[in-house]
Amino acid sequence: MKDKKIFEEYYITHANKIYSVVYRMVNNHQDAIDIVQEVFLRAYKNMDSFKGLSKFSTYLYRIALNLTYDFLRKKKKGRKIENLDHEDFSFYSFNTNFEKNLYDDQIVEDIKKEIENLTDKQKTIFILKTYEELTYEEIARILRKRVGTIKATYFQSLQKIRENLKKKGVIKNEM
Amino acid sequence: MKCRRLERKILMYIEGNLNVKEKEEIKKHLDECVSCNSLYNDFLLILENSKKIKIPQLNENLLNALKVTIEKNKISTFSLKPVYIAISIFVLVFSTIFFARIYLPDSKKVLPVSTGPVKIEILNHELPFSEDVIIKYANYMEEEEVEKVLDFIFAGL
Repeated sequence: MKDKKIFEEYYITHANKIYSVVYRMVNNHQDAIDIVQEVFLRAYKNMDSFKGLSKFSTYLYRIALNLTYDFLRKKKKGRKIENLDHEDFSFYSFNTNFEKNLYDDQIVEDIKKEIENLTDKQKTIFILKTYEELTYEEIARILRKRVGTIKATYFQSLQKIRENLKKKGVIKNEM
Repeated sequence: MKCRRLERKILMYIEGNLNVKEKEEIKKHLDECVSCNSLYNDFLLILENSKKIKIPQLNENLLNALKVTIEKNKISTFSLKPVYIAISIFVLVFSTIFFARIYLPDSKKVLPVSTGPVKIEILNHELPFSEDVIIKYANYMEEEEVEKVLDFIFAGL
């Protein structure tokens, strides 16, 4: 009972952040929900180890990203992530036309496409830095990489987006 | 100032992660260098517009669904953690050694299994028992006891 109460607190604190990262990676609400569900089930099973730890979020991000990479790998092979006999969430209402007419500004749509064209690692770092506003040190801890690597990859991601937008004529070449 | 070296600092400039001196240095360079100024403006444009990308909200029902799944599948928070496994193995090994030392007889007292019948050579002495009888009983005795019996016999001769 006590465990469930603590779990609920963890969920309320972290679920939106985890969902945000996963959704931006997989670009599909239902897939993101499945992954978030699995993340929190795993977290629940291992909750004893993390009671009272301030960096529980690092652990959650790590599980979420590993599951996301697995999902993307399987998706690339044309398979979908296994449904581990969990609840069916399809009955929860969701506006599937969410993406339509969302952006008045074309440049936002163009940038969105370019973010999708980044490699999984580049995209992860771009998302954690830009949207989650994590520090380079926090990202390095989550991904178990060096801070220098994270900084370099983030810079490369921005450069890549910029170059592709230039090629498309979305942003102008310098005079 | 070399632009190549400065490019990374432009990102730090946008993030506000430079000290006052570096900030001034970059600001001055951006005013002078068209290429770096363009990079700076493009990065700003990308980052500002990236944040306009919206995502759906996480459905509140997920928490309830998770609780149902946990209940339904009887998922427990208990798991065998490596540290507990290591402690258990240590306690098991330690207690085995401890009890073995208490209950097993001292190895020095144990007769080797394959020693075969104890050969007793008694020269020029007349024994009160026949040799067959002594050897028969001596085979069931431990080494020290055999010696004691022999001492007793020789003392009486």
